[in-house]
Amino acid sequence: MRWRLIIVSLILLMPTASAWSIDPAKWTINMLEEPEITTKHLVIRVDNCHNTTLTVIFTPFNDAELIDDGYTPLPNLSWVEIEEQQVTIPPHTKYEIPVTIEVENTTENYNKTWQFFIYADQIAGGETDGETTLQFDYNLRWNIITPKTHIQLAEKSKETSFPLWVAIIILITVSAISVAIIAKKRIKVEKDEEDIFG
Amino acid sequence: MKKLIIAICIVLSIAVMSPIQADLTDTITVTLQPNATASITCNQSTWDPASNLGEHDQTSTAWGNLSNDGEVNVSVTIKGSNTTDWYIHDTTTGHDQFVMRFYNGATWEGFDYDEETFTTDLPPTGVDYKHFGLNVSMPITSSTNDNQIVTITFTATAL
Repeated sequence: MRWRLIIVSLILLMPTASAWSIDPAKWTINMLEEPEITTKHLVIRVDNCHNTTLTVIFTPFNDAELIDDGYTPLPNLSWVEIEEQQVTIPPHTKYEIPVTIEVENTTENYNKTWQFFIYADQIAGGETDGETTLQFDYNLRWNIITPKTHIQLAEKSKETSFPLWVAIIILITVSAISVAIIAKKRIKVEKDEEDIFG
Repeated sequence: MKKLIIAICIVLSIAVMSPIQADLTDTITVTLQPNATASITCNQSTWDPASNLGEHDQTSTAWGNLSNDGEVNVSVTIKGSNTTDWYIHDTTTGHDQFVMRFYNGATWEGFDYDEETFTTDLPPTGVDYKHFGLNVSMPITSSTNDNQIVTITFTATAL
């Protein structure tokens, strides 16, 4: 008996120049001491320069192997909110994904240099022949630098209101003295007039 | 005297109403300084390896090239995938199990669905390329004669 050899192909259909871009891949985020602003809306831009629709999933993550020296992982990835975790982008289209970062204002979160990543995972599209056989993913590297010192909100409130109260007291004093002087002069004038015509 | 009292009352009223402060919330504000685009591109010709079971096929060692068209240096990893009916492996073929390798400039290095270092630092010049080739070893035996399609993924990490 003769065995028939089964011929099976492993097909790699790879068109030329397959890519999409993402911006910005590396950000430095400086924390400000302006507690009256609660959130900051940011944007990731994706450019699909292909003839087919692109689908990408965004996931924030920490990675001890990828992190740079001098940085520590972001303590809480839930501080990073990506408005659309999966986006589908038509061919030759640019797309913006809003991102919000909100860090808890506690003493331990000051004087920190954190680093975390956002994995942009291409799960479909980007190929000219409609077959997804070659894909490109990106790890965005984001740094967060917090202020050196922690100013308690209550203390900050006192600090900002103290000069205001001083100014108000001075204003009241000056106004009262001015009014008193004017009134006194007026009374004196009226008295003089009474003496003349009296 | 009556006018004096009225004037003082007006001034005091203004003073009492003036210290209006913004609401304070328990949150730190952040600002961003965007400064970089990431974009990697691969150029290669079509490779359609039709090999018998138990055999292998490969491209030239410089069949494709990966370039960095972005604005930041990147490191790049490579990974493969299982197909509909076959499993990928980085060293050993078997029943429904195939092996993928890439030429890293010195040797053919196997890879599977875990990320394998492709290049540690590719500058964003647009003219620096990482040349590579691909090699596939077919399964020893197969439960299907359908064509199989494998996905190869390059992951660029901003440095």
